[in-house]
Amino acid sequence: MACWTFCVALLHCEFLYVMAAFNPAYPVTPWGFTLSCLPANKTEDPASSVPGVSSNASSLSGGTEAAAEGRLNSSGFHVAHLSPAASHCCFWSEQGTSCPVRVGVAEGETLVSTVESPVSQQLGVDWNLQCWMQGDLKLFICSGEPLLKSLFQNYDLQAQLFHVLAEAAEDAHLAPQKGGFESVQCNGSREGRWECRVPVPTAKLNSTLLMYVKITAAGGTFQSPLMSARPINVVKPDPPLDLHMEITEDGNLNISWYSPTLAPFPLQYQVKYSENSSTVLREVDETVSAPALLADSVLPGCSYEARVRSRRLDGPGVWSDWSAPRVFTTQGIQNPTQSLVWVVHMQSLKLCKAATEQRKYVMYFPPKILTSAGSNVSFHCVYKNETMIVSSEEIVWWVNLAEEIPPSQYYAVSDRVSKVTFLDVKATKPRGVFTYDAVYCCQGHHCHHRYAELYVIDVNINISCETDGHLTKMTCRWSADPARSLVGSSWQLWYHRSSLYCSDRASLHPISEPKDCYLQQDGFYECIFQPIFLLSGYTMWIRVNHSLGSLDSPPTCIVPESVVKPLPPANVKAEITANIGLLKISWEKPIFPENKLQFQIRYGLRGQETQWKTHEVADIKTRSASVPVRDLCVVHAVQVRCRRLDALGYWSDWSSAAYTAVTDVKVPARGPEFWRRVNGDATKRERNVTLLWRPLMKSDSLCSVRRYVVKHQTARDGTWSEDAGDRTQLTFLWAEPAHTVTVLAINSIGASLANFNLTFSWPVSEVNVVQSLGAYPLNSSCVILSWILSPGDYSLMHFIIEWKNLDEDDEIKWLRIPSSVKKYYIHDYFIPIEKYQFSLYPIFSEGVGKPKTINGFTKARPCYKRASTSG
Amino acid sequence: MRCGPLCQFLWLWLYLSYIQAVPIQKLQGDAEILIMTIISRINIISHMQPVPLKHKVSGFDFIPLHTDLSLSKIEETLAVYQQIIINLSSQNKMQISNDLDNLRDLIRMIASSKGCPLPYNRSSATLQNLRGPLRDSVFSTEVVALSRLQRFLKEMLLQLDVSLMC
Repeated sequence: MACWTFCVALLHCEFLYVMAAFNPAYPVTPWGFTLSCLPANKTEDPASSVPGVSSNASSLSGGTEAAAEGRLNSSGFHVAHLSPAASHCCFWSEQGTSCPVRVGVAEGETLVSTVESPVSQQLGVDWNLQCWMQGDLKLFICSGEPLLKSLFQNYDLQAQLFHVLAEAAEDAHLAPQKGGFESVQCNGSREGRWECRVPVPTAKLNSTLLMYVKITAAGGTFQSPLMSARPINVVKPDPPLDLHMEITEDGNLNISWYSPTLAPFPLQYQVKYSENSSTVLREVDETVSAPALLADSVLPGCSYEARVRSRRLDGPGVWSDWSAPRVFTTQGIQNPTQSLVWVVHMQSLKLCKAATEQRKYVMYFPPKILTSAGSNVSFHCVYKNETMIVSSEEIVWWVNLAEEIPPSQYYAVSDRVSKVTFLDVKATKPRGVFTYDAVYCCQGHHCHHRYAELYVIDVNINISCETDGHLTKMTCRWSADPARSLVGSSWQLWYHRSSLYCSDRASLHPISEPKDCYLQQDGFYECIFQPIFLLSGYTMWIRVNHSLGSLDSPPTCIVPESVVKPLPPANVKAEITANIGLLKISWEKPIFPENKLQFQIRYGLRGQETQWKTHEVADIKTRSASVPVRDLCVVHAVQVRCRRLDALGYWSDWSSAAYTAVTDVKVPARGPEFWRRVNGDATKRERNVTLLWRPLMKSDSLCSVRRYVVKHQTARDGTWSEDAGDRTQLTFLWAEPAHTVTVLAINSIGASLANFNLTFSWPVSEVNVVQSLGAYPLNSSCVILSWILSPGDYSLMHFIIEWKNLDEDDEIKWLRIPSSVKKYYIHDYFIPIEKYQFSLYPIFSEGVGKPKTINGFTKARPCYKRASTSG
Repeated sequence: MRCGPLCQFLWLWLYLSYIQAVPIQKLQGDAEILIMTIISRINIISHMQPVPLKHKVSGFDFIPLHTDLSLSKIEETLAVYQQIIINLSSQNKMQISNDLDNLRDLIRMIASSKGCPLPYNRSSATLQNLRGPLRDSVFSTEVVALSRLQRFLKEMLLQLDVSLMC
């Protein structure tokens, strides 16, 4: 067995040696070649049978004696009958032929396949071969396609490529001796096509690849002669990308493209483009080294089709496949007719379609522009009148057929091209169904009906975001102002998240993703990010998609942590502090954020429309504050809110309101004002006195009165108190020359500190200091009372004014007024036709003086009659 | 879009140059706030009651317990915790994971501004041991993991006030 293996290996090496020594490898050409396999008994030179191929070219095979195998039948198919014994394969191309020397055929050795073929009437077979290095410089590919596919229709094809890499070209002969050939299985098809792929390490691109193909098909086995190729010399780039055509400013056609990304060396490009009108088809084929070609001036109404391929600029290489063709059609005449006119072209006379009945036409480039408000845009136009291109000097521009554009905005780019520029364009205001401004290029006041369309969209969209108080959700909003958008455009928020923070200047990021946003009832779109990266920078912008393209709003970058709207403070409580009488508010800070917070309080009286007052809490560490309030005995409503101390983010909502309870906070501010009614005979010494007082208001009682206490003081009995409960009058017996009484108000805190007192004195009651008194009614609700005091030195505490309607059985009414006043406006309900009694009591510290009493308002003209005095 | 790689590079360069300019005081301040935020998030998880220190629960050797508080070790530990948190069923787990992600970035930036030789690439912890406990004792895993994380963060918070070594 070992001996058998050794023998096989030896034979294999011998075979390779013979192949290498006597049959130099066929150099793979970048342009493809043909593998012809013929019956052994045919000796015709295959190349001689092919038009355009010289049999002399066989010398290119390295001087090897061409195996002039006869082939080709008379019909021109590359098919010949193979002998049942053997077939012989050769390469040939336009550059030459390579056939291996049939060494040792006589001795029965075979360098080429021998076929025992049942097909056998033994047809010769031709494959078109092409080998190239793929553009990514990783795979070497050889593919073959039979010229006569029908021969393989009923057979499976199997192909194998045997290859070896030699380090240097001069080693190519020795390479097979150094190591064996490796084989790769090739893909084969029933049509006889096959493709073999050989991985080539990057470091071996300059090595020489020796190889041969073994094909089993149609009942036969065919083996190619040895081929050689340096992968770097047969690189086939990927086709150029993004073929683009546009009209340049001066009216030429610029064809541009991008070179394939993986091209390892400079490329040259072959461009084919055709100008196609209804009458002429002009084809141009140019080779350039830059990825652009400036073609001739563009004509209206023509279509231009272009495609491009690439190949290594310097040195050998394989042309790439052609790019996908691109068609560009210029504006022109709609509904072209059979009648044609000549159009004068600047460089040559060309025929392009123009209907004779439409004697004018205009071409705008670009015909439509979509742009954002605030940008600058330009249109160009070529205008033809009758049979001549109108000189660009004669062109004027209009907007919407209503507004002539100032000449300063346009100028002649060339003899036939005029250019208008709009600076700082405003957003288009849709007029009915027209969502663009129509821009006209005219000759004086003669305009063609065609126009260019200018779409301007205001993309200055403010995106605002807010992070919720739980720090888990960021809600971003932007206005869907219908005036801003154009019909047919859609809006979408795009964003990019950077790991931490925002950069100084927000910019559109190449890696971004759209975010679903939903229109709210308030006309805003709302997008929610949840969960969030608190410290990441979210760069966001709005992309407006329109049929003419897309526009992006200026990007804005937001860090969620900087737009937090905290939860409102919790557990808010409010109270009026006892004795101190301040409104005290306490609260708890929300759990989030953990930043230092500032707090704001607002407070007011509870009611339907609370008038709020605000209070800033100065100490950020405190969780309570006290504010002075005027009314201590009413219910106060209090709310608290917070925000970050560094003012980043938003104020929280106000907390739910807390209310104060009305309780006594201090002793009553004063005792009640009181007066007396003296009953009984005035001539008697002992009389009943009834004290009268008004209930204390809350503002004086702070905040309630539980009871009133009357304090008596006489010379004989000293001091004693009498509880009046919650009554507002109390009667006592005045039996001593001087009797002083004080009325105190008592609440839960204590008794009023400032109290009024009144002394009833027999001697003082005879002191008369009021010289005169007059009552002057102003109207039914006001009477002026004025008086004059007798001259003298006495210490008046105050006055008491007392009045009553003598015609009615009313209670007396009274007022305490300061001692300094000389007249007083009494506001009450007065009936002028009735009689009133007015009394003025001087009150001394020693007692109540003698009053001055008048009657007023007699029935006739009471308002103008002065009251008579008495007493 | 064809300038993709170049644009990305330029953008990254601009971004990194900005990041370099962030003062370390801000980084440390933000780290402190973020740590406190995570601690509070764990606090409000309803079933979370810290496991007493002397209480030992077996089977969780893969959850870091006592960690050297150097910057590189912190980053590594946070990566482990992040991996664990993602696999829990707890509410807010994704939010806590995101917070940890931000915190790791902050630690890396602090390390960078201190000139610490932290590996350029973020550590990515893979926890083979997590699957079993998660399947058999979800509750224990959650409580132990969150407790230990909280404890780790508190220690880290204390250390931030002093100084963190490389």
